[in-house]
Amino acid sequence: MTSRYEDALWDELVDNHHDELADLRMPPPAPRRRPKALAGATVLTAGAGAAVIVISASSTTAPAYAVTRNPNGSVSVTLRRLSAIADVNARLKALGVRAVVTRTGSECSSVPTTIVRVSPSSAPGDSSSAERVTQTIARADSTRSGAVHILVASRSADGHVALVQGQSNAPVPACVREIRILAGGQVKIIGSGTPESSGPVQAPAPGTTNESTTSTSSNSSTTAAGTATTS
Amino acid sequence: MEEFERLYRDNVSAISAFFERRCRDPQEVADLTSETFVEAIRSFAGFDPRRGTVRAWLFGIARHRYAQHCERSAHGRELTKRVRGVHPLADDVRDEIESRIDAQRVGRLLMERYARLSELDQSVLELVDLAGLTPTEAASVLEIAPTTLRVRVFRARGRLRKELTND
Repeated sequence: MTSRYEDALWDELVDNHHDELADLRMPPPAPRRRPKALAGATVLTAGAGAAVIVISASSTTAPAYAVTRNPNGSVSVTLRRLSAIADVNARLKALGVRAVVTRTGSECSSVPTTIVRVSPSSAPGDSSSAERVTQTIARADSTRSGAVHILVASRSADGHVALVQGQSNAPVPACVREIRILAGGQVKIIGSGTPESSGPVQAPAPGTTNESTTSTSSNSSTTAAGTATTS
Repeated sequence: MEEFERLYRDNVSAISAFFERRCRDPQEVADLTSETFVEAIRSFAGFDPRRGTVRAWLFGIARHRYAQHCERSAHGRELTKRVRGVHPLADDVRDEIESRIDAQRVGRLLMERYARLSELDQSVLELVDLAGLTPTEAASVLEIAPTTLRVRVFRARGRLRKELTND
């Protein structure tokens, strides 16, 4: 039986002691299990020829995060530790990408509620090799003018960082209380809000990025995929 | 990490119950349970499976943490640097722990009865009869010989039975 208390305690242990856990001398790990609900990676395409943001959970020795602009103008984001969210957001802001990473948190207030719709789709570069487990999550219904891409980070069942992505015209919450994967691949963010000590995350203004100016409703897509590698 | 998560999942309920029998405050239960596993992470390199099971090892840590907790409380010191104490518990988590604390009321009543026994006998009965450890595991926790523990269990149960009969 799932215990919210035990899950929250484990999440906090991992968040606060990730490095120590990673350094524990354990027998060779078994093949990674496929996360139940959330993927270890998200690929976001913000429009025709626009941004692709790839977020992956990966090996314990890999960097906490990476933000890379690809030749086609897309941006790849890799996040392996929740503690690196602020750094990722700073990097995204510096690149002028209208995407903000937020996270789930039990301390997050229960109001207001924001719903981000994401539809299932295949992620470019998906692979089924033994070292790379991919889950396809979503494709955006549309890219709205002025919308901000929200990437909600949480810890999946196997302890890796997983992200779900969508778009919203509403202020990006600093944290969300809960994410639910609905039938059809939609994602419902429940109880989004802000912790007591912080306000909404400030996203770059519209028009300051390649992504926002090139987004179109016909070709824009959002793909979320889970990836776990052992590099 | 996956191995340690398995260790955590397999034992967190029992370790938390150990504190649920002792504390009425959900935050204390969560803090002490968290501290136990933090200590387990930090001292895992020193864990020797030849000396006992993981469960016995974790209970040893839990007992030590609780003793420290009592000492700090007795001296009125502020409990600082708690992992969970940094953030207050979410309402649903607090509710769940309160329910678990309530579910341990029978165990607490028994432990109140145990209070008339020696400290060692209390520990012996709790570990074997309430926590569900094997006599060998409990002996490992208490650092006594398994045969000694079995004798202790037998005698302690007899004393407790006598106490209950007299009441």
